[in-house]
Amino acid sequence: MAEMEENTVFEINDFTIVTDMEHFGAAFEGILQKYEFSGRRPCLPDDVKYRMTVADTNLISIGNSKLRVELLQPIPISPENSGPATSETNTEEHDDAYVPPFAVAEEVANVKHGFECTDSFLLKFGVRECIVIVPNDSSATFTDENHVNAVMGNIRAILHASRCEVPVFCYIKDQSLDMIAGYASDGNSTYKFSTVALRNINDRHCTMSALLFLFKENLGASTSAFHDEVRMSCRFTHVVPLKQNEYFRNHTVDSFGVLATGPSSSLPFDTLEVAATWRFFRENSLTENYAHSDFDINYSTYWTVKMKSTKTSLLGVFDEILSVYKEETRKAIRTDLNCAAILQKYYTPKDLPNAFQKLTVNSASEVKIGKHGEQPDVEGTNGPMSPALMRAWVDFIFDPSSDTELLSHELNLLNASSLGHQFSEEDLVDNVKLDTLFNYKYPHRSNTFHAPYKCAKKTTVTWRLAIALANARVFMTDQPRAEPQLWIEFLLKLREKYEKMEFVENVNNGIDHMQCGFSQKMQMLQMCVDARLKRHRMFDPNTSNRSDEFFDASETFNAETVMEPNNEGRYKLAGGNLIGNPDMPMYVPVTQDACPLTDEMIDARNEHLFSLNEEERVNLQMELVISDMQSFKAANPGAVFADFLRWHSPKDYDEKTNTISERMLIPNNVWVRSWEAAEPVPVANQARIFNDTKIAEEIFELFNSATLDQVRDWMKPTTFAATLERLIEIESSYEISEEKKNQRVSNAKTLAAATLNNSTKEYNKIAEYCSQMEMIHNMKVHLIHLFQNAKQKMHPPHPSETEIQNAIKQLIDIAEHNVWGCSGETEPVFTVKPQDPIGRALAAMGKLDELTEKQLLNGHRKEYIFIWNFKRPSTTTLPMSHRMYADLRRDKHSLYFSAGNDCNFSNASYL
Amino acid sequence: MSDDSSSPLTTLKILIIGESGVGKSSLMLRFVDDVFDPEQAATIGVDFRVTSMVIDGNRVKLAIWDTAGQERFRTLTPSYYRGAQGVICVYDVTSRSSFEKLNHWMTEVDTYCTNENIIKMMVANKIDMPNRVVSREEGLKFAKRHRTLFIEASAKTKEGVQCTFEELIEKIIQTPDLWDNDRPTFRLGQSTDASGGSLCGC
Repeated sequence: MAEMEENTVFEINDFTIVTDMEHFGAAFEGILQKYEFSGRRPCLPDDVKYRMTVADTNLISIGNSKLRVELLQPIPISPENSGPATSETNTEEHDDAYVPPFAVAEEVANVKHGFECTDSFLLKFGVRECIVIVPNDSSATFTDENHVNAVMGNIRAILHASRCEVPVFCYIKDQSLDMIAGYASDGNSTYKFSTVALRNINDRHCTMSALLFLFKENLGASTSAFHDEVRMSCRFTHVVPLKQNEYFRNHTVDSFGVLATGPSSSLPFDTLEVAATWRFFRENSLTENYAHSDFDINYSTYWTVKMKSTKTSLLGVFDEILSVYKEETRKAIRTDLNCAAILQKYYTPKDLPNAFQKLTVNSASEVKIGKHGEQPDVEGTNGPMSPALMRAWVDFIFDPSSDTELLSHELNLLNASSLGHQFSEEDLVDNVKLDTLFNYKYPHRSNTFHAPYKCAKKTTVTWRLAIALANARVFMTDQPRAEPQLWIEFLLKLREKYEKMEFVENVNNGIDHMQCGFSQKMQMLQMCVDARLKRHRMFDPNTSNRSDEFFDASETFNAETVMEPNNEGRYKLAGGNLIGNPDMPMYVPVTQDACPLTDEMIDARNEHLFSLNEEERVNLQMELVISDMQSFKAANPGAVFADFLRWHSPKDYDEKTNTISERMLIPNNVWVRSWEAAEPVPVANQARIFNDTKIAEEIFELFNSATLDQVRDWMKPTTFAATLERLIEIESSYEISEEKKNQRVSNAKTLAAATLNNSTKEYNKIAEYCSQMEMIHNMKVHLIHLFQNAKQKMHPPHPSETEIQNAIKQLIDIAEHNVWGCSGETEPVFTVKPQDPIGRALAAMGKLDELTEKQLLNGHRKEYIFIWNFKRPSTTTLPMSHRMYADLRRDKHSLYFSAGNDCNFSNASYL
Repeated sequence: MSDDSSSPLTTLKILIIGESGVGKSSLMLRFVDDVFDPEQAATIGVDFRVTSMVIDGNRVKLAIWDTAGQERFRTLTPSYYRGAQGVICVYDVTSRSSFEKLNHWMTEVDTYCTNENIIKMMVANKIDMPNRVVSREEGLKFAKRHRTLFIEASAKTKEGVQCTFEELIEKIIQTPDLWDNDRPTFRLGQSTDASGGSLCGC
């Protein structure tokens, strides 16, 4: 050996120029030395599952091309024990005479290395630990087989010299071509690995008998009765379309009232992929030739099943609802335009006066009402959706408890028009079942949120409006202008209601600052309506006697009065007489309300207050007190400052000692100054502090000029809250894990923070969560439906609920992996026995019993593994196992050979 | 004591509420300007002072909102709660009615404050007065029941005033959820300093 090494050294020195191949050889040898791969490798036990991982990567060059040398090593994934340790203890048990076997030969012979393995080299060649040489870039490093042979020759020499028994594989041309050459040797026997890949081989060769012949021929063996039988496994993959009708939404008043759920266009799954495996059978026990196939998939050893979709996107409607808030949104129409402008020919605003012109009229409303009475043709849109439908929908938004007959009628028309072709009675029933599953109605609906989102409350008009606008995007996808149309119709109705002083939004004790900006504006409009009602009553004493219809809507208005409206603006008796005019009783005057403030107004007001000096600030805030002083003086002629304090700030007047508090007696203080300056003016004649007309017109102006983007932005917090809350509802239709429940709580909190701070990052997180969860939900619902139908079609025994749930879970795990899984992770496998209830249910789903002989012969993918113990090259050599894996797909047929040879011609003398 | 050179960690909004005449403005002025005027005029609407103080080595800017206690101004108070991190609820130990109204004030805080974790403090003012009618124990019991901080103080003698604000700010700083965000709303003291009083002189 020493002499041999000397020779090698001598020969290299003999060259004046070191060739590329020698460079490569030296580098490759260096890598082998680093791994310390010398001598026997451990044989891995069968009872432990392994996953192959790239344990190490090195880059070496051959000429100008770069090659990546990867070391693939098995990592045990079964929890029981780890492989190498076991094999070592096993080895110790043997006596000294025991010679550990050549690991590659053992692995190739192992029939268990079949279709249960997902690792490429194990399936193709039957080996696990190996070194793979891959071109590092797209340039084809090894252009032809000769080139590879030269490199492999070099590698062979190095393997022998370094006594490395780990197989080495080398990709020819591009990796995607899957042309592989490989070699392994323990010095005595060798394994040569090779690939044959053909675009198309004759159908005649695509059967088991033909392949078997090909395998034997490749080994140079003539069929003989003395040979061992070939052991085989095979796997046929059938992809069958799920025979189902297209899903269409059947709109009802109920489904219009809740946020849409379900698939956005088509059902999540449309194909069933069944890979039927037959394990370990012997030659001649099953036949497959050009004319006949024994491989009826209903009687295979087991199946691995997947549900797939041929569609590119499986996203549900939540994604469609929330995607308008993503920057890279797919836009069907321009959304940065005013909604009326988007509608173009569908809408011409009629006599829209300058909103502020109305301010010059004391009560513009009455004029308007009269006009409406005369003009029967209502102003509105004329498309793209039926205006009657949109108007009925808007009425529903304002009052869901009102008569919904019209909406229901319009929805029937909509359903009829969307129903493209004729459905059979059975199909319709089936669709209704699916519709019910997708539009799950949560029985315990509550009006509280899972976290304090800053958005419209569940029972408000704003909440229903946000849901309606989102639903318009979903239900009317083919008419993207439906959304602005609905908004315009909403605005027209809002204006009409405002003019008629009807209910527009829930208000409970002032503006609710825990609701979003848009909702606060709606509440403000309602308060404007209420203020106008109150004013009208003050002006017109008869108003209170008129029918109650005006006051129905108002919740904040308190109709209780002690005194009839009067010129002095007296509200009620205060009890006791005036100090300034002891003959007169003291009256509590009618006072003005402070102006309600939305968040925006509060911020603006605070900013303004801060910009003022102290005196200006006090003067600004005296507005209300001065108004009170004027009203008080008007109601109580002859009253003095002390009287005012007795009513307004009792703390500052001691009734026992009849003295005014010290702080009110500070000379020239603002209270006294204002009192002296105040004229007696009843509220009816005072300037308005809460100028409801001006504020309402400003809001209408803002709404009317809004772009679609702006409208969507106003709806954003409410739409997000509605989506997350709806998701929680639909998820409660089945049990979910504790982990998911916690995730739900934390997501609700995230959304609460997002609505409070308007943080895009957090909104995006919620959008992603909602669309993923809905997609999974849609898959679940679809599978539940498929199993329900299958149960009806199959013969008993039926699968139990638990079995079905388990099957659904596993099928969804696979689908989830295929959509979001990391490429590094292996795909989960769902295995079933064909004759188990679940297997038969799946067969019913895909109508697998109807597969014809021809379909059986031409599966989408057929794979075979042949393992044969055969003496080669001569009958006197030791028997060795040879292996062939055939992978026949539609467009590509590949054969992978692992051929052993007991006679080693290629020794170190090769060089 | 304040280190003017360092930039403030955050700006906090502190609201002072309570019945009319319990000494809310006096407390604020004692803390900010270190003055006491027995003839303090009744506050109109709301008054503010901006100051800063150093807590645990961090400089924080304070916007103190002193609200009017009179009934008529109460319709406006909900708007003052927006964005407040701390609230000081004052009562007068010589006025039982001001103590009895505390329940009402606590309900108002819970109804209108926008921060879930807002820090509440109960201050028993005017302890220098001889005609005391609300005992320390009563005050403590109430504070415990409502889980608020509690301190007895006198704006007149300075007793407890500095402590009131220090304790409150310290507690707020220990609750980063309250102040550690980038809420884009208007914050007092950030846009303008013109109206602010002198820096804390204590």
